[in-house]
Amino acid sequence: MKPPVSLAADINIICCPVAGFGKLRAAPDQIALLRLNPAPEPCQTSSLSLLKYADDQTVAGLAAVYQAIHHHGLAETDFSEWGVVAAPGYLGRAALAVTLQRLAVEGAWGISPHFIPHHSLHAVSGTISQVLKIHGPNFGIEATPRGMAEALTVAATLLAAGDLPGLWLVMTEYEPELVPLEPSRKGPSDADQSVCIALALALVPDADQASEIMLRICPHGASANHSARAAWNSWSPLEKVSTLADALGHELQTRHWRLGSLGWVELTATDLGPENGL
Amino acid sequence: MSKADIWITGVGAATPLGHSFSAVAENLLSGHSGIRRVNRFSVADHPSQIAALVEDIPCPPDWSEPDFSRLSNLEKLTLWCCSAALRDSGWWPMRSDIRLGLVLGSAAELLCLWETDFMQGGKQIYQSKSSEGFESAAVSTRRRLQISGPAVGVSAACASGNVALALARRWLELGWVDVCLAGACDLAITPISLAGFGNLRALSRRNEDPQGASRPFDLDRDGFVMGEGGTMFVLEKAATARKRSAHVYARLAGCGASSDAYNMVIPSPDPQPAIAAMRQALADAGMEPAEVDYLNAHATSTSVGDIAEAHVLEAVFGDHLASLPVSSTKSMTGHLLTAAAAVEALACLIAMRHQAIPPTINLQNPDPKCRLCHVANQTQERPVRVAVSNSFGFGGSNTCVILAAA
Repeated sequence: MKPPVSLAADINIICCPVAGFGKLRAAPDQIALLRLNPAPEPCQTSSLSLLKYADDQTVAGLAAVYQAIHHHGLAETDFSEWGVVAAPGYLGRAALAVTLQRLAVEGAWGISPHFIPHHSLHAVSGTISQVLKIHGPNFGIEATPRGMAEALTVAATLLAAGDLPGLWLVMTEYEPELVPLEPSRKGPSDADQSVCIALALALVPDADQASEIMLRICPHGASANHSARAAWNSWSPLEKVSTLADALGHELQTRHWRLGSLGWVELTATDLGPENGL
Repeated sequence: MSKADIWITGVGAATPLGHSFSAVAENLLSGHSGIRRVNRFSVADHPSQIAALVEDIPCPPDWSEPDFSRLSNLEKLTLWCCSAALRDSGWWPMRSDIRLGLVLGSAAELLCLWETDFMQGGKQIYQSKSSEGFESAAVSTRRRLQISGPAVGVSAACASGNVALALARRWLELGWVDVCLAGACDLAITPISLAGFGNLRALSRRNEDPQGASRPFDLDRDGFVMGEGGTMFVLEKAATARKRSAHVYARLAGCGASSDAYNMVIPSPDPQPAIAAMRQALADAGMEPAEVDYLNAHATSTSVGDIAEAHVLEAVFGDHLASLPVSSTKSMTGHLLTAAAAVEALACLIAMRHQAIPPTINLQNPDPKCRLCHVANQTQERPVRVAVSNSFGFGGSNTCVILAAA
């Protein structure tokens, strides 16, 4: 495969220091507990009632954010002007399966008014913004198997402008894919094996800021990248949340992944603190 | 990252009021409503039974009709809008020779796909998507159009189109793309969404009078009316457009975004976050409030939302508000949800092109809590060099874009 060529003369590389990260794997019974208290320590927020109707991926994503805050010394950080970008995988699928059955049995009357607000693509970022009182922009990324690349691209885009003090990038998905059990089928569901993977990155914009972990978004054609361009074909695309989460669990490394058609992402990590492994 | 002049040089649309710039313009400026009774599925037990629907999405020229008919409806809509925008801009024949990006506002693609399939007797929701190599509409459109830049689907609910415009502008400024398609498409009028919004008590129940049902700022409003459709724009740097003597609709002068952090559905009683988004857009454009000639309001025809926005406008525009024409084109198009912001940016371009402001129809009895300079029921001819479009969304998103004559 040949990377695309740009005619633009001035192509920017974006460096995003990672001020902290949180990650978790949660089975359904653990999600139920996190729904009651998503923070590692008892939560002070009064907004937890809004998790009552939240999608499981929203709960896991928020819990990962709290882990990042707790484990990386961010408790005193003022997040009010930060942004939130969330990339959930197949958000709302399990809830839709239930809702379709209710529609078939009960008709329009049976559809919960909470379904759309809490299971559409904006739901994870909107909920996190509400719980943490974040007033910067919040939105969701259409997560497909390529959703990771898209989420990183968009996060870097927002930080590049320099008008946000920081950004939460929250990525969630099920491994293996959560496929709801058809109601007519009996026995154990494949969905019972699925666990929700969540990764939250606290990204800050200053490229010169000292950080133990650095993400670089490198477009094809940027002048500093000519040598790396040759290696592009040997790198894998970044497709799974767990791939990036696992990379954050190892010390002293530089890793590269292809970033869709844009270019590639480089992760450099030197000392990853108390969190190891997913 | 250096700021650059970004121009809109192409438009593609499929809306309840037409599938081209000229058709939408004619209908908007004549105060025509696209709302009618839903006949796509049974609505007998739905509290709201009306919507602004899009039927028969056209097949783009040079496309195989049988191939086109096999696509999902959202893929058809996105492909039509992108293809029409590229042709309009003049980039169509060269689309594969440049780095052309795509930012698509799209909120519930898979949910709608699964629901539609289920209603037709399918079982896709119970089948693995990973194993079949699922592509989102953004990614599949990129492949079908044979464009080589990045493609992404974004959702800030009803503010998605403005988010897409803002991201596309930054990609251009970063040099990540040479040209970018941006906008939003939504085909969400399904049994579950109509019932879900209906049970949320957000929708008008004026089922016996579809064309009179969407009445933003009117005391007799009783909720919004769902709509569907899409609009995509071609964005490029002014320098690129000048070099090829491109036709220009407008300059994307400013963008602003914030979050209420208050409630997933209800707008914040504190107007400050929405005020911040508007002021951010004005500052980004380097403009004073008094320079704005027209404001296309988010105003959906809900009491809480219309009044909240009026308070925001009072704070942002001060004395200028008394003479600033304000209208809500949702009175004619319905509320296109994810696609609303894109279609309303199109309404601003129409106002600028025709030097005429589309009205808020059905505004017979203006709410005294919305003290605005309404363009009520009749198009108003007047100079429009700067137009502002507000779009707010579930999840607390507030966005604002400013379009200016290039």
